[in-house]
Amino acid sequence: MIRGNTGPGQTWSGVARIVQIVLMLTIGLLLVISGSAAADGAPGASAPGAPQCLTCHDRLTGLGADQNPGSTPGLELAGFAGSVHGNLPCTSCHRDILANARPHRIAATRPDPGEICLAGCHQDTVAGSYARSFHGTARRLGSTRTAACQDCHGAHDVLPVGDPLSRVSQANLPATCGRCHQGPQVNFARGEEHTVVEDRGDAFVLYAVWQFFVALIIFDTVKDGPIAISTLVRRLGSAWRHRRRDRRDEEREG
Amino acid sequence: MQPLETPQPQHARRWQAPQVAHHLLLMVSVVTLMTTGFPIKYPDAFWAGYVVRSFGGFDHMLAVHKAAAATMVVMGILHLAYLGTAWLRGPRRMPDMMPRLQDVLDACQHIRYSLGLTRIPPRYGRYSYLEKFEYLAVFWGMVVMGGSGFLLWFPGTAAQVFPRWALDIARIIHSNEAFVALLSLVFGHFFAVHFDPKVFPASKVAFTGHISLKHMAEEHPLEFERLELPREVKQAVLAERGAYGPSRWELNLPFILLELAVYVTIFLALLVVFVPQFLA
Repeated sequence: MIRGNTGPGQTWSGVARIVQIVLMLTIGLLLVISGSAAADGAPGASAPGAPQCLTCHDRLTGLGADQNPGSTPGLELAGFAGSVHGNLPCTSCHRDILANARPHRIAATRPDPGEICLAGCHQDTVAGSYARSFHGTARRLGSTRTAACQDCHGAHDVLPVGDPLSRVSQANLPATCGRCHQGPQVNFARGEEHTVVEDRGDAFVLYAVWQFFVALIIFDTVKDGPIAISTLVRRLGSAWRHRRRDRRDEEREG
Repeated sequence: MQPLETPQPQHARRWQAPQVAHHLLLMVSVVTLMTTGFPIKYPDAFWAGYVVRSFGGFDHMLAVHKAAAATMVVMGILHLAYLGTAWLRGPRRMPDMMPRLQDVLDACQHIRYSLGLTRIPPRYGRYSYLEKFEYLAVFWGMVVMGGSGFLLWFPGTAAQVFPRWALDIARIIHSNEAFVALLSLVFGHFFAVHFDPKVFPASKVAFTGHISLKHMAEEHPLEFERLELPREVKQAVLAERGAYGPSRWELNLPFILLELAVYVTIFLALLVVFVPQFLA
């Protein structure tokens, strides 16, 4: 596009020089604007990855789904485009795909789906509470039956909590929990997810119960510790007296 | 349970067969529950992975945990039935474990004796105030752990009655009462029955049902006084250096010093960890 690197010996008119400068300034400005937009964390729809991948993997229009269904999973483009992740490049989650040449170069170890969500973007908001939840603990210890991020939030169709269509909206939460836990129940939605005991505001009852048990632990410590210690001190004293008396007896006999 | 041997002359019967059996069941189930439960409380500890793998994975470990929980519930029901039948036969065995005003006085006397404010130790009957507290604490622990554990085992069933936040509370309760139980077992109970130099390496009373007269005379003097025995036997027991003299661990100064160092360290470490958590 830029014709600045022309060979030596070529003559330039004044107008052409001005046009060239204006063009370069405009391109420079565009580059700065697009750069700051990317830094704001709002990658454009043209982010690398998605369009290329969807050429084959889109279930509606893709070629691969029909040609080679075993190796190219299809994807509902409608749900994906509307989700909060719709403008992300596929490889930001599908990190085991190392190159889009066919056949794909795929990482030897497939990262845990839950870890991908937490490691890249969601570590601050939910990582701590998920890691400490029973689901997170079970997964951490190798359970494959327990719920990971996508089991509740969905993967390609993930929507914000406030969206009524979201799997984790107040209305849909009972059904989402019920997929694993004995069918939909209203009570599943009555409580806060992703809270830890230290969040006094969101979970004051949890915090109060926890404090009660910390007090119980301190009570047990203060009860059992001094009993053991004072008993040992007393045993030490009587052992010492025994030893002295034995020594005295020996001296008297010898 | 096979019939127990007849007591030797220097022993007295302390526990009947059902009590020995209940203690064994409780011991096996609690040790299993703790082994399979604490990796879930501390999943990032270096030993958690080993324990989980030794059970063949998390889901198998959880299955063992639930089996042990069921064993404990069965044991609890057996014990309640035992208490009920004992009560029906005549309320004689129960009052031994019943807390009384004397236990409060004993506790005060024990504190004063431990602080060196008096030379007169508390004189306990069949069960000391500490043993009664421990026994009743097991009741509390079984109800709290069993109840919260049931909600966590069957979240779908529990949700038919309780809101979801009640299950979150059940998990906080289960996880923290587990630590309380560990503490009273390993720090409290194990001192009384294992690490007290008087009984080290282990008191066998809970397994044989028999207690040595020397042990009884020292720890349960009021019960010893009421015992119907020839005067000479009682005097031999009470004489410090007779046939029932102190064990070699009671006279082992370095051993007692080492134990003292360990207990002081654990005591201070527990305070350093948990007091700031409470004040935070």
